[in-house]
Amino acid sequence: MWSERFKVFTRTSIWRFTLIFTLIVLLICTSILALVYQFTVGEQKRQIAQQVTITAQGFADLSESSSMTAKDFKTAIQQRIKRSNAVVLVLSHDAQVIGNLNSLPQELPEFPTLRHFPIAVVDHLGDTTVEILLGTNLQTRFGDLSIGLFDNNYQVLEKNFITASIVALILALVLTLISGFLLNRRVLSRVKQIAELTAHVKAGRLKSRLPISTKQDEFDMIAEQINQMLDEIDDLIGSVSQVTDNIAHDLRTPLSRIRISVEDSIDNDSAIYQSDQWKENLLDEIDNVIHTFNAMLELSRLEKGVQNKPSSSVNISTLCQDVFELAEPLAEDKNQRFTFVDNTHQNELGKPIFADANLLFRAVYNIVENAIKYTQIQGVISLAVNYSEIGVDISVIDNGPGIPEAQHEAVFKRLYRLDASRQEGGFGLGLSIVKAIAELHSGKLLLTSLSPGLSIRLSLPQNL
Amino acid sequence: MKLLVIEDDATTLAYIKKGFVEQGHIVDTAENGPDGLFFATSNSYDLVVLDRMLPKMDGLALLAAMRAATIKTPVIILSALGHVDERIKGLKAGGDDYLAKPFSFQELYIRASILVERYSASPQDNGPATELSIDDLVMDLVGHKVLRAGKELTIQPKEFQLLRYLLEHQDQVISRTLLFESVWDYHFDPKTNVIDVHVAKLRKKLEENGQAPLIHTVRGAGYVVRTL
Repeated sequence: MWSERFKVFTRTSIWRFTLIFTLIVLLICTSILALVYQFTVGEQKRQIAQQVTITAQGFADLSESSSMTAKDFKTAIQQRIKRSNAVVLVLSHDAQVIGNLNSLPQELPEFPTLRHFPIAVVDHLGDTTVEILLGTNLQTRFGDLSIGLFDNNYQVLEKNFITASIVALILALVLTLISGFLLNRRVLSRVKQIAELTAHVKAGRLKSRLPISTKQDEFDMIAEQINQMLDEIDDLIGSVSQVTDNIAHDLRTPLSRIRISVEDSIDNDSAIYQSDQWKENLLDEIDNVIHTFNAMLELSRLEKGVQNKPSSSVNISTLCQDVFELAEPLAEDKNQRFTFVDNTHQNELGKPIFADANLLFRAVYNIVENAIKYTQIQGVISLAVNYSEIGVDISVIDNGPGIPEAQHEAVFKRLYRLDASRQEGGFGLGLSIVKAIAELHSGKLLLTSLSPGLSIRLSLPQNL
Repeated sequence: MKLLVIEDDATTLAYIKKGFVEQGHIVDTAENGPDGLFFATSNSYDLVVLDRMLPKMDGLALLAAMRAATIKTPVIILSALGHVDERIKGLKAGGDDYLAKPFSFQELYIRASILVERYSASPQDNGPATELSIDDLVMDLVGHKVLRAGKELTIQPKEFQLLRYLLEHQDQVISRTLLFESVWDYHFDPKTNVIDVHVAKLRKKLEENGQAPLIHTVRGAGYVVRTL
């Protein structure tokens, strides 16, 4: 259990980050300590070495002076020892040893090379201690002279310094690891909340939401996004179940009519069922079902964005002209005044729009067809195309009954019809398909109520 | 003509075969991709009717293989995937026409005839026609004029195209969808009476002096231009 938890823990990115961070901290600490060492202990050690060298050089110069006698040289050594008890001098001369040591220290290198060497010191209580000195051996014409300076204090200092450094490094390691661990646990707990939520959602509990703290940190931002996404999904599922009722009506009603009709034809030898008229009606009914079905499938595709992004260059003014020519006779049949206003020629911006011509034609035709269908006999409808700052605006304006402001949003929903009895022909998918097509082209669909009438504007950007 | 129908659904296959055989054509059938490819590459056909989704080998892969073997026979793709981008995919793969399921046999038949006609039209034909006519109707394709019994009719550009298409395919039943696609060159099913309204308008102009009807409605199928 614990090992498993530890494994999960050590796999996290924050844990890896902590390790890297610890390594960096240790490196920095080591560098700082090395620097401090150089400026304190290191400096002292260099000074002692310098003193040894100066002292040795002094005696070398002294011994080389031609006026110097052996006696004077020994006196100079004696005086020097008296003056400083930090200095050790031993002269081996004529098989005699002079100085403050009773023998020449062994294995001292020749000047100017220096080396540490130990001596035994007996204090006034008779206790023997070992002291470390830094020294060198100088060959003079009066004999071998060993010169040494006490280095003890700095040896201790160095040792203490190293001990302190190790302790400091271990402390740094432990502290960074602990803070990393705490940080990791905090982050992990937030991540765990998200993981638990997704598990809930997967299990079908769509109402689960993430808690959001007041800190407004990045996790709150993620949590908010996830919550919004879930709200939307929830809404969508809700609207799907609403739509199901409408589908039931739009598909089941004609299907049951077909069923009843066919069933009746089996039991009944009436001449009606032999007529072509009956069969054709049946075919029409079936075609309608198929058409509704196709439209719904297509709408899902468009909304899901499965369709390839439109990529061909389309001349909007030609496209609108085509729509106008296709729809014109419909308006004529209702004695409506239907006009097409193309303002794009008056503008130098005349660049083609990148779009899917088939989809766009369908969208514009759909809007126009709706306008003609819902506008009264002898009404006025206009289709206009204008260049806008971002691209192109296609607007359809009518003086028909319009759509109440409150229902502007709702008409884009699938299978929504203003007429609740659903008697008017059509499939109630038109405007939602138009909207999906507009969105596929990164465009917008804007409804404005006029008095009387309705203006629908399809705004498309020049580039997707 | 001689056709190859590659379709895995037995009912649809029988339906198509029966239709073409009744019209006096020879039909070979295959029920999966590899068989279809074998037939298509080893025999010579006037037309291939190809289902988009087939067992063992996808319809489009079959088509690509056929085209790679330099078989130029026209192909109509049948598919339950009727969306515009599926259609484009099919045509890009080398298909000559694309028909979404469910379809009426009439629609398939007319599309097949048009394809075969177009394919077999040899270059030595005396160039593009400059005039089309039926009964006492004459279409002057160069001068963009339509005359009925010697009298010029005022006709709009789209009506002209509509009439031209119908005249080019005299005695063939043209579906509303086909008419829309050919004249407007957009692919979607307007599914309203809008095409009927256009045809009715045109018809009224052609018969404005009480002449005999030329454009006839075939219920459940479309329109046909012929003299009675």
